[in-house]
Amino acid sequence: MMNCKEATDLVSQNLDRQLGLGQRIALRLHLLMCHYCRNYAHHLAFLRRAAANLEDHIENQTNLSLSEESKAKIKQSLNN
Amino acid sequence: MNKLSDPNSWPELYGDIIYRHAYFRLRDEMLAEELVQETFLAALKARERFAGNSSEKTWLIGILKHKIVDHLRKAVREQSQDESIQEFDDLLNESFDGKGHWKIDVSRWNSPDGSLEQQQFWQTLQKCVSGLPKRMATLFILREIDGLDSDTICKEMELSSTNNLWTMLSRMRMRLRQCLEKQWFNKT
Repeated sequence: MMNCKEATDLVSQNLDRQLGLGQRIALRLHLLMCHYCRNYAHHLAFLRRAAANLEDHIENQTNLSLSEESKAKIKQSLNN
Repeated sequence: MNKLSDPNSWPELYGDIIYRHAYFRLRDEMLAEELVQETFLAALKARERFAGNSSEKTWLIGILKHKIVDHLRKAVREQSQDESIQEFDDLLNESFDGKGHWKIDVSRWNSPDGSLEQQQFWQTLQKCVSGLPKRMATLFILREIDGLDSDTICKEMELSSTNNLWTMLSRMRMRLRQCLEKQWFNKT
């Protein structure tokens, strides 16, 4: 019987590759019986969805900016 | 067809945006600034080849990403392969007992998809990514942001086997999950 530690590794791998048939069955059985690992699988799926959108939000980080000085320096380098 | 604006206006128009992307991927202010400059310089040289199918901004970000991949490739060689092993052993010991069963509560999260609508959430996620050991953060970006496949990542990060990669990805996600839970879901 697969334990939770092993199950979490397979839950993760499932996001990166097609698991083998035996692994798929073992994981499914484990998830049927273990609600913590089921929650864990939902959490990782959510993490993936969030990560897919993270880049769109990076540009809105108004607290992170180049200084006027740096911009001027860069501008100058473009003219050399 | 999109046209390019005067390169002199780039720092004003796109400096901050490119900088935010660079900082997110490198987490180093000086280096990020350097790469903004390199990006504009490379763009200036390649200006004739701008086909106009994408926006100026997308084109510039594309150039930045190439520069960053080049940089990471060099940086990966200098990082030690096992810098973060101890830390992740601790995380595993905290999470599982000797038989590999959960020692902690893995509860359902309260309306996770509602979080995606909140600006605060994205800042928290970014903080969690920034808190990862360097190689793990690189791994997160290559796999989850850029969507590269396993073989490509193994090559870029000089990993000896895909098993090694899957273990690292699993630990990285476990750590991010824990951080989001502590910093977001248990707080809101």
